[in-house]
Amino acid sequence: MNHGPLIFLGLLFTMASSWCGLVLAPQLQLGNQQPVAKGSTSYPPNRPGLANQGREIYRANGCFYCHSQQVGPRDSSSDITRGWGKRHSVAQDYINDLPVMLGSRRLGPDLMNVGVRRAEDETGTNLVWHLQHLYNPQITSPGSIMPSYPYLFEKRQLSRGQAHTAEALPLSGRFAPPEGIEIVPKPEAFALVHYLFSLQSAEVALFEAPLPVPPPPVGDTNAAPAGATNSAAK
Amino acid sequence: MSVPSQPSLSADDAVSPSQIDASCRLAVLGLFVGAALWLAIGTALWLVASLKLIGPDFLSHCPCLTYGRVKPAATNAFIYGFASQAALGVALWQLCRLGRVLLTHTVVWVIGSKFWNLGVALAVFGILAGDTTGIEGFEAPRYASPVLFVAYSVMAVCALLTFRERREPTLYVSQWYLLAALFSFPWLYSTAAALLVFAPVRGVLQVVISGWFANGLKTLWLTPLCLASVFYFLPKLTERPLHSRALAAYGFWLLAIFGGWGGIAVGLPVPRWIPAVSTTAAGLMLIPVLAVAVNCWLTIEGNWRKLLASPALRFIAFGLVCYIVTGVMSALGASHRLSSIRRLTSYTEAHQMLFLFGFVAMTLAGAIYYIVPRLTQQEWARPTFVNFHFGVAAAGVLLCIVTFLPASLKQGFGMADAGKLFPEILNSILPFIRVGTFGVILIAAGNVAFVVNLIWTCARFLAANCPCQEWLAVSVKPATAGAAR
Repeated sequence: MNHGPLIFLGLLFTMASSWCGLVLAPQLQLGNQQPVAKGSTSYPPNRPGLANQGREIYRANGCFYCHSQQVGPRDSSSDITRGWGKRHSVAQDYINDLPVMLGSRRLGPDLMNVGVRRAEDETGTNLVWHLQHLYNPQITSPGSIMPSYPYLFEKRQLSRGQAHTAEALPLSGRFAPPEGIEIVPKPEAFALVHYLFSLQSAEVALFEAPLPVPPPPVGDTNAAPAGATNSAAK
Repeated sequence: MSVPSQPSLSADDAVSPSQIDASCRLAVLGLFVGAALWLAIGTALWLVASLKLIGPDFLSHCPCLTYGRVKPAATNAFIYGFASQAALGVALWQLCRLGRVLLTHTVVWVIGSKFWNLGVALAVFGILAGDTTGIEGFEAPRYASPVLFVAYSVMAVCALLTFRERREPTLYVSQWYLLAALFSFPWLYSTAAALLVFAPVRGVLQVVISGWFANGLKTLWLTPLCLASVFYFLPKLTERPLHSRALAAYGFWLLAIFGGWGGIAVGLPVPRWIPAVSTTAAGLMLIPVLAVAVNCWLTIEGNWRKLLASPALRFIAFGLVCYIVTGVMSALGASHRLSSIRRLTSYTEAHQMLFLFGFVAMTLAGAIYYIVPRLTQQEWARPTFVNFHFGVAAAGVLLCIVTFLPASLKQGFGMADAGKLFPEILNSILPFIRVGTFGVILIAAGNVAFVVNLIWTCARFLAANCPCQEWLAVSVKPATAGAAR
């Protein structure tokens, strides 16, 4: 082993082999994945514009260093039993994501289907929940180690005797701002919450990841009652 | 054919080690000082990130100091600013010494290293400003990665020219490893930059490629650079020849073959063959790790007293032990049961800390503690700091490992039990993570001692030998000749 060029040749071969194995081969297998038709829409759906803006906030602040976005398979994790998704995540779920923020360490719960667990509702309850949680996680989850994000909110001075405006974040107790000041979410905070609302991936059945069959109701038996058709199984 | 025709070494054109040291003094010391500054910045950021796990509201009003920005900025400052830069300095010095050749491309090298520092600064401050790519392991924004790549290419070309000009045709083990590192980095980095940032691939392919890159950065860039130092200094400082060159060659080629395949964890939403192949390769990596371990053991054996005598050797031996433990830790991932337990816990964090702070930082510090006195031709400014650095850094690394490993197993077993609520599991591991923060504080204290000592020594050397003093003396002479006498 005294010949530089021979060592280079050997290294060229070994490097090329791992490059072909872990860069080229997965690209050949997955590189052309397309959205699949699901009734009138396709899956995965395109995110609305506000949610896309929120994804940029999620990326810039590195939320994925503590929150994963992947539901593990049933045979090696308890994610599905925890209600973090109805099925495990597959490659198809991420084809529209740029960048894909799977996360590698859970210092907070998984967010793959947080848009189902805390879905957007007409009363705005979950919107306020998310905003309060971002403003100071201790409001909604006492003892949490998530940092607060006060910079996604604006402190507004109120004139003397003026009531809080409709935009103000409802805060009470020790979290309430001092008299004459209100806390208003910036557009970034709204965008981030709408990104969280859009995270509903682990809920749609796919060929490679079907939804589990719901357990039969109590008292049901496998024996079909006499004269019954098989239509229920269809 | 590979060895350029050189006149055989005769007494007149043989160069002495001190001439070689003098020729690469500027280039190598420049890299070391830059590395020390990034080590200080990276350590400070790492400390902030760790403290945030104790008090989440610490510095929360500043967007650029939120956990999700500080953590990747710290890692990038450490890997690219400190580890890569210091390792390049050590590599250049070894290439000159082992090749018995004077460094002749100093200016080009220094320009390259300035651009490297510019690239690191763009990456670290870009991440703090929120410009991260959002890809774990390749966070450098798109305006930083080309600068890093070009700067690297300039330095690599100089290093290869130095290698080609060598007067000693026999290659030593360290040179194989240095060649491997110099060759792997541009391949890894250009693939990652092209396919993750400039022409991004679709969906989870990004995760596969960033996993391949992050793993390769450790096993094919930082590992060979540091192993070169291990193989260089261990025989030198124990004054014994390397036990077996054949065993070293065996370990080298197995590292090259298996090293690039790791990095894709079990449970990711990718086709199952990818993590299967990847974890198998990680398991097979145990063979080259053990080959290095056995070779080094048999080299030191019977000479343990030298370990106490030489501070540099102590650092390198500690780094080597950490390397072996990280090798075992990643090999354990080949067990499906264990890799589903450790999935998404702090196991990777523990592994990374042991690798970066235990193996890379300690080995490079050992090499620098040996090289700098030779380059400056004077002892360290604060010799007591060296022992302090070793003591606190070793204790800090151990404290991090004995807290993070149990924490990750506790989290893993807790997660396997679907009846346990997530917040409950998290609360049960927080005490471990908080105690682990004291480990980071100890490591930081050691790093401060190292940085102060290095800067002090270099400043003292500059004050005594500054070329500008002579230049000043010459240019000022006519006017003040009388006064100066």
